[in-house]
Amino acid sequence: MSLWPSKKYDDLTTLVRACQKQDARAQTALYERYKSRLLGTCVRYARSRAEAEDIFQESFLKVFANIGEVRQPESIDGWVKSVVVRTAINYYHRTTRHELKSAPLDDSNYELENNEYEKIIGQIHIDTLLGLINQLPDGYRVIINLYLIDGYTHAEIAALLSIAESTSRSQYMRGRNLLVTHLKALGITHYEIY
Amino acid sequence: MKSTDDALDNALRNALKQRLDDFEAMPSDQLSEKILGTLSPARENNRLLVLLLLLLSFGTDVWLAHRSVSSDMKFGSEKIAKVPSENVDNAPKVLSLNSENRQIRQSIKESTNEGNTNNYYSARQLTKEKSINSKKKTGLEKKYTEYLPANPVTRPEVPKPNIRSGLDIQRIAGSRNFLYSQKLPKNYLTIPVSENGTATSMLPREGHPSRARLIFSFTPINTFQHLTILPQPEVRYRNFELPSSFSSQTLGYNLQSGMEKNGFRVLLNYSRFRQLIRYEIATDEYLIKPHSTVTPTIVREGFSTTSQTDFQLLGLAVQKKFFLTNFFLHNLYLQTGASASRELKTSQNLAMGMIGIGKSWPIAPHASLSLATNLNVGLNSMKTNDDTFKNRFYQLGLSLELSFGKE
Repeated sequence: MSLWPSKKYDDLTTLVRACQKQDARAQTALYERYKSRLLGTCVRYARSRAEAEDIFQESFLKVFANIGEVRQPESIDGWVKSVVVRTAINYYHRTTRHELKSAPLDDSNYELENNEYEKIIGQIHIDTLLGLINQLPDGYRVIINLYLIDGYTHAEIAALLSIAESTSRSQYMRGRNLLVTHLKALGITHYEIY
Repeated sequence: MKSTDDALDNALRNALKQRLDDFEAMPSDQLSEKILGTLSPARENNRLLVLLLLLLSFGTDVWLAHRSVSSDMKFGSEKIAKVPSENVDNAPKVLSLNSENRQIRQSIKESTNEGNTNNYYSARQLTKEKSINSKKKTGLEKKYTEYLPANPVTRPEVPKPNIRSGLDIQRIAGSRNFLYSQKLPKNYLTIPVSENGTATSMLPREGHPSRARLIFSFTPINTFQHLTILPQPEVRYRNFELPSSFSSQTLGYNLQSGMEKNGFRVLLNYSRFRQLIRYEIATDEYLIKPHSTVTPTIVREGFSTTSQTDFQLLGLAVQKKFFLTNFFLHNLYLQTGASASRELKTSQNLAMGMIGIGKSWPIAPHASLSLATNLNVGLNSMKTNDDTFKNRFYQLGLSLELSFGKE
């Protein structure tokens, strides 16, 4: 049944082109396409759900404001994600850039095998895992997300965060050690309970 | 040391990417509305356009109904103006304002001069004919004649006037006033009685043209659903918790406005209701619950999720009203129809069939109130906001309806 003419966006290129023409239906379709994935990304970068929603809202406004600049609609997935990551970083810059808790670089003696960490990460509840990452200090959390999950190199991270590459590396190391310490504690608790 | 770090990095990267790379979180409806609402002014313009259309439709309906009523009131007031209430000498003066009524005035004069009541009746009869002639243009003469006495002879006996005394003139004026008042249309609230004694005030009269009526209705609706789970790869749903059959979570409302003529209705239809589904998505994690006496139970873990969708539908409905003539069901009516609506946020279409039974009561001249029970059945399904489920709706509503205009 078609009461009103319903536009179908059969492929991504059509959808992006329609969004570039400020088509409200296409914007809704694009929002529906990316909303859950991008909020998931925001949750990773933010300290809390409220912060994640702020970043999410700001990101989508940027996406729709700047979608006209996209020349290759087929690469929209990566572009949208990069907008969200940059927005999260900007949010971090605005709020807590200078909040860096120091963690010793060499205090981790990795008692567990590497595959044990994989097991723990694979088995713990997703909310628990997100809680661990969210508890990390802002600088560490952003770099852990960028380097380990989103696949940025230290050079790219340094450019994004306007820091030296060596700083990126050292902060990553500290953040990773903190995460491993938390995982280790969680793993021991895990084994003790079960 | 470096190789250890790299190995650890790889292990962490693999594990975290596997769990979090495709991690999704569902934004709330409020957040979505906030974002989409600030996106494009065109979207706001569309809402304004819909509101304007609603207002225009309602305004047109009111104007048409008012026009219909005011033409009747004008016709009635003319007749009242023709009647002098205090002094018989005023009658010709008032009537002289209308050139078409000169003949009537002459007849009245003759009746008073000659002191002949029969002539006066003939003047009344003439008034009736003139009135009918003037109404032929509007096509309402059939209806009007119903209110006229079929035979002037059946009227109450009026004492013969004696024009030679002032007292008699006053009597003539009073009598005439009485007769004219008899000629006015009856109150619309008067209930005509059919041959078998059944009150038929709300039934359409056969052979008489029906006028368009303005309809406005508000219907609280309770929504039931037939839920279909759309398959998602590697997602296992369980522990569904649907709202109870009648609860605040299933309540909504429906607003309708439009016109009715000869029992057919065309209505602008706006409805809003919510669907709330709670469920769990099973994870690969198992929990062993220790038990003191028997072997431990193994429970698969899951995380609870809520799917909430607010449906806002705007569309058109076409209905037909049938009045029941059965002895036990008299004064009730059946209504059946269909509606086609558009979901305003997700642009999905929904067709529904409707059947209902109700009863009307006159509450004022040209206005009636109806109470009806309606059952709406969805003819197609609609997806929830998160594209996870398809709902086919069944709605039960109690409609409160106001209609304006002459039958």
